Amino acid sequence: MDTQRLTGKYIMITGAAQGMGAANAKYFAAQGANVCIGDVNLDGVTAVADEINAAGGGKAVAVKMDVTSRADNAAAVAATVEAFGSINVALLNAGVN
Amino acid sequence: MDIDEDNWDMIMNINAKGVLLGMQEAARAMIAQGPMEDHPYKIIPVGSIVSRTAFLDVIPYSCSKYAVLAMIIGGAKALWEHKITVNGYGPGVVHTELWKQLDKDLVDIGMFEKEGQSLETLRENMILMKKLSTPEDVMGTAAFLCSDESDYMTGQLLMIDGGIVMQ
Repeated sequence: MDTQRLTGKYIMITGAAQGMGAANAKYFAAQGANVCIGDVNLDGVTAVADEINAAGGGKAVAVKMDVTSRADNAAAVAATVEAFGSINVALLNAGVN
Repeated sequence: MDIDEDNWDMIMNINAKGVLLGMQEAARAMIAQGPMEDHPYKIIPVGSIVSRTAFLDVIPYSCSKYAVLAMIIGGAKALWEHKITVNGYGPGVVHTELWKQLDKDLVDIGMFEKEGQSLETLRENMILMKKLSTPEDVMGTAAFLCSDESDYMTGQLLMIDGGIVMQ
């Protein structure tokens, strides 16, 4: 597999403190992506970002966000652009059942 | 008959409105940046097996994920003029905290007698591959949708479910 498959991708991921969102964030960063990961659980998503940054692949920043808030969505997008200079992918993963 | 309005509102707000707002705000920034030279921007809402077939007793969840499918298709049509693609994926029965909670909920409403039974029943009777999914099963397809390899597709919802929903 091309380990740099996602180099140059600046990806916002919602709902990334656990489960599939967290797994995807780590996997994308391992393939070269920079990820801005959001969750209502700031401690959880910060731990995921710390793990990604310690791994030495793509970079991660964590933001607290409630996806039902337009302001929070806008702020997470803005945080992606501020951290990486651009946003070119948005993975809208947050959900409940 | 037992659908609770507060539960409906909570699920629709997070799963459906949350995707709408994320899509709108991401697209707003992408449009402001202007089209990229070589590749489209990508918005990837996460659907579900219940985006295509509603299951008994999870009707609010099914409705919210049908809404995600509608936003994938409608969003693809609305945003291509800005060189933005919209494609999603639909996990099946993924063994995460979310499914553990659903498993407990199904016991609480009397659909199953004990915890773990719903997952085992689904595995045995619904999943062609007879295997529950893990997040690792989903990551490759998610990465593909983020990558340049998926540039020539939009408006699609890919099922990653071990063979539950085929259409």
